[in-house]
Formats: sequence, C-alpha cells, structure tokens
Amino acid sequence: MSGVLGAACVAQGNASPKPLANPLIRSIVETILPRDNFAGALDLGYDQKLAARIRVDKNTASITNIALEGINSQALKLYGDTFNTLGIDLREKILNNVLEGQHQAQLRRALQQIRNLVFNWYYASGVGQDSINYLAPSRYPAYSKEVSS
Amino acid sequence: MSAALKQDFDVIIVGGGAGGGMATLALCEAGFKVGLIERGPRYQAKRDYILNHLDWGSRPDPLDSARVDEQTVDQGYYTEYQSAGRAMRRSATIYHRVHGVGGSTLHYQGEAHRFAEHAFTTKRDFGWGVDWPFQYKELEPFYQRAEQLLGVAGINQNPHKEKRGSYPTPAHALSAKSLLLKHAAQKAGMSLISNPLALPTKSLDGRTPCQRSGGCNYGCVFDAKSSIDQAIIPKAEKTGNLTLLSETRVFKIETDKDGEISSLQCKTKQGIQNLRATTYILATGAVETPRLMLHSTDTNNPTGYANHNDQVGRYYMETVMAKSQIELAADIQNYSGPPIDSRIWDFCKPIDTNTNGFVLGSAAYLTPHSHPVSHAIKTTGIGRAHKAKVRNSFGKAITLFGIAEQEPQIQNRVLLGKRNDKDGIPMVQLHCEYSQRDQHTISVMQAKLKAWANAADTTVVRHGASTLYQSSATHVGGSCRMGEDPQNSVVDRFGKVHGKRNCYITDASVLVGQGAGDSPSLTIQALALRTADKIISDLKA
Repeated sequence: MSGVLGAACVAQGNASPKPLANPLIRSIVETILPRDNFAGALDLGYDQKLAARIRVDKNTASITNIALEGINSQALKLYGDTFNTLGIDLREKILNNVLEGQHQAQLRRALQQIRNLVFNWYYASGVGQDSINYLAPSRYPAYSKEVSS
Repeated sequence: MSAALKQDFDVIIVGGGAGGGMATLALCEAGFKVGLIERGPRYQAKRDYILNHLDWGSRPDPLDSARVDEQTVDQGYYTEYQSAGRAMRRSATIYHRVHGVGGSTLHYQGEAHRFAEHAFTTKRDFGWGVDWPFQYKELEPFYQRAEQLLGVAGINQNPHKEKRGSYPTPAHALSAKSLLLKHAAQKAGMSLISNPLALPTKSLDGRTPCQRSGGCNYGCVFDAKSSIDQAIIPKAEKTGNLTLLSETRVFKIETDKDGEISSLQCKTKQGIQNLRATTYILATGAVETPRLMLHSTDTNNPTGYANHNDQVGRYYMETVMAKSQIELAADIQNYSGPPIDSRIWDFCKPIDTNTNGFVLGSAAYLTPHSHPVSHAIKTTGIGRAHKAKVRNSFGKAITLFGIAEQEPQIQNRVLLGKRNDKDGIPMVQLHCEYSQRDQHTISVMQAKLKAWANAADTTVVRHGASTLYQSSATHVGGSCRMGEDPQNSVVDRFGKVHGKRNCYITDASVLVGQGAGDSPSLTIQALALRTADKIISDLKA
C-alpha cells in the first residue's frame, strides 16, 4: 500500500476491534452521502467497509489512492488545508468540481467509482431505500409472513 | 385404452404458458393423462426471483434468460421494403418471453382483457384485415371460465366492450399515478378507466391476494399474481393426471406414413427420447410454434409439418406501439400498485378507415434502470443536494403508451434462417412490414399521447418513440392463424391443424387479429379452453 492511503492506514493503528478508516476516506465517504433526516454513509460504516475492501481488492485500493491524493491536493491547493479538516460546504464544492471538471480525467473516474460504490451500498440497503420512501417487495409484511409460515 | 396403451400420454402439450397451461387443466380435469412439456424450469418465487433481494436491480433476471441467453431470433435479419415510395428497414424484434412453467404469464402484468366484439369482425366492419371464423359471443363463456380460474379483479364499467357480468374479485383502487392521469385524460377529452387484472384482490385457493407491490414483471414473490404456475398448474396436479416435464425441449415433430404426428423428439434431463400420445397440442408461442413446425420436415411434410399450403409462419403480427416518457410533478410512487392499472379504450374501435383500433395506457414500475441504486447513480452530483434530489425525483417516471393491432399481411412471417442455435435448430428470421395503416396509426397514437401528456402536470416529457423501425415485444401472434380456409390459415375454428388428425395449437399463433391493442393473454386462455373442450369431446367420441 502506498501514497496517502498507505500512510494514513498505518497511522490508524488497530486500537479498535473494527479498524478505523483513514480520516480522508471517512471525510470523502461522508461528503458523498451525508447524514440528513436519514442515516448517512458513516452511520452505516461505509468508511470501514471501503477500508476493508481496499485491503482485499487491488483495484479499489488503486482508485481510492488516486482519489484521496487528488482530492487532498485540491484541498491543499485551493484552501491550504487537508480535505478532512474542511467544512462540509467546501468539501462538497471540491468533490462536485472534480466530478464536473473537464480536466483530471483519472481523478474524476476514480472519484466516480467510489461515489457509485457508496451509492450501491446505500440504496441497496433498507435504510437507503427508506430515505427515498421505497419499500421493496421483500420488505412487505406479507412477504415475511409467507416466509415464516 | 387399447390405443392409448402404446402411448406415454393421452395428450402431450408442448409449452406451459397461457394456452398450454389452460388446456392442461381442462384435459386433466376431464380425466385424461397429460404430459406437459416445458422447456424452462419450474421457478420457486422465494428462491428464484430477483425481487427477493434489495439490490435486485443489479441481479440477472432468470425470467429474462430466454431472451438474453438463447438465440431464437436472428438479429442479423432486417425487414426491408418499400412503403409509399420510401425505402423502409426494420430491425428484428427483440422478443420477450419466458421459458419456465407459466411461460410469459410469469412476467406479465396480469392484464386480462376480453377482445372487443368488433375486433372479431374488422373486415366486415372496417374493410381491412380478416374476420375470425366465429364471433365474440362464441368465446364469451370461455372468457368467463378463464376469468374465474384467474380470479380477475375488475369493475364492469367499460362502455367500449360488450356488456358482461361482474368480475370474480373487486377492482383494484386506482393508483396515485392513474388518478392524476385520469384527470389529465379528462382535460384532453379522453376517459381513463380501471384495467381488469389477473391480480386477485381477494385470496383464491389459499393464495395471498395481490399486495400491490408493483413487481409483476420479475415474478410475483408473493405468489399472488395469477400466473399459470400459481393459478392453474397446482389444480391440474391435484387431479393426479398431470406429468410435468420441465426443462425438456422438443426438437422435432416425427410423423407416420400418413403424415400424422407419431412422436415428439425431445431433449430431456435424461437425454434424447421420443414421447408419444394420442393427441398433441403445440403451445410454445407465435415464434416457437411455427419454428418447430417449419423445422420438422420429412417425406410427408417436405416444407415443414402441416405446411402444405405454405401458411405456417405467415400473417405474423407484432406489437405496434408509440410511447411518451413523462415525469409527473407530484410524488406518485410509481413502484406502488399494479404497474398497468388503467387504460383508455376510447379508440379501440377504429376512428376512421385509415386507422387501426388502439388503446392508450400508462406503465409505471421500477426497472433495473430505475432501481434506487441506478437512480442515485444517474442523478448527478454528491452530498446533501444529491441526496435531496434523489429523494425528490425517485419514482416519478411513467411511460405513456399506445398499442394498436397490426394489420395482418401475408408477407409478414416467421421464416427459418440459415444460422442455428446451440441445439442445432435454425433460428428464425422475423419479416414484419408495417402497412400504411399501421404507420398512420402510430402517428395518431403519438398525437393522442402528446395531448394527454400536455394535459398532465409534468416536469419532463419525451415524445416520439415507436416501433416503426424496431419492436421490443411480448405480444406477437397470428403465425398459425385460425380460419375456415386451409389456403389462408393453419388451424380450424377449434384450433385443430388443417388436414391433420391429432394436432392442435393453443397459443398466440392462432390469433386472427390482435384485439385492437388489448393484451392477448386472456383470449389465448379462452381459446385454449375452447380447444380443450373440442379435444375432450373428440377423444370421448
């Protein structure tokens, strides 16, 4: 593991039974899908889920590294601070600029993949589907009754 | 039973869909030993369907495997023709059907329409097409039987159809989207009414009533929808007369020295074997039935089984459709309620001599492309604004559609192509020209859809899609059509193959017309019950 991702992961240590994610990962995941009236990505542990995936999937590790380095560079360049220390408004602005920008195609693609991964997890979950008022057939009361009968 | 002793069954039925399933039940209840051959598996709702999972949008749909995995239609074939001096080129239809016990009723949305009386007499009344060999009244009691078996939910309020008795179960309440679209239709001078559905609103045979979950397309996880596997096959099994041969494909019709069917060569789980019966019913749909017949050549049937008049595969009809995509401003939760719970029948009787009969409707349900995950990914951005945008825009998309019956034409046909599928059976080429009347009907439907959409409170509207250059269809028919004259039809008024002693057809291929845009399932089932009655009386004679 190299770059920002590797350094940060080492720095986290193993004090907690669940390994804490890199603060940059936490802040990016939180910015992509924040808490509002419904739980956000951090509430559901997606930062840890992403960190766990990085450990077993080279592609995820690679794109996350690209995203973290690129996004943090933007934060330092534009606001003189690391991404995770910025407020939510500036963090959203940075990520939206990356996604909408015409330059830095590699960074854009990397962030897009992390974004889509987080959305995949969230909107395929009961919490995420509740947040848009969608009740999947398998969550209907009659569905459970049939299973138990 | 002297003759039957040599046979495996009294009757073999090929195809466990709408027509084959209904015929199976009628024959089993009459005491005949029936072998029902179905190419696909018997699905178990709680085990197999994608809607058992919250992430269903990203899972492969087993009900779609017949389209995705198997090569029935040669997609390299184009229908090229001249129309009013203009060169036309239509791509091969994307043929949606299901291989499985229940056939396409596994993915249908339960529409249970009786064809209008005038749909049986388009030649007499409007000067085009061809009349059925019998009229509506003759089919009416079979419609009633089929509706009872399916527990059709409806309300007797359609002024464009024949007077009829009450439906077996009460109509569904109109969904939020239909209530809004009803108001819009009124503003545009049209009347939207409740759609009869084989989605029972009350429990039938101990089954769960419809839960209005909107998931009909992917197989009902509640076993509530009256698909053939749920509403019909269990009844047939209870008689003790049914042998269900799932995951079995008929390769070829074998005939004796007189040209009558002697056996069906099948690929079963145990290998290749020949199955025999006194009587055979073909019910694999309007593409596969002519395909099997045309492929089954021998010295008595050199151009295919029962194709001595070159009629097998002809008068093939597709779904003629126009569409508009809209998003309603209000939160209508398109995923809640039966997907097609209303229709507009104002135009089912042709409005002039240049137009086919058609109906309008709206389809609202989630697809993999509009599943919450896909919707969130397609919605641009991230963060708080994105989350709010996803919430506010989810479940608002609706397809407004018009469906017309296609004018039957002799040159439109199912042909065997030069390429084979993985079992070595030729794929089909679907030659399907649109007549001037078909084309004009599309433009009339598009104008009506535009007026309807404009009268609704919409945020997004996209007009113009149609099947003029390609059809993506479940509803095809006519390729072994019913008629009195063997020179322009394949089966007689009871579905018996002309000139043959022991073969009948009970699927969409026997349809003479397409019922002015109504869904064909109930008509296929009513015809199958009628054919089964005829077989019963013949076998008992």
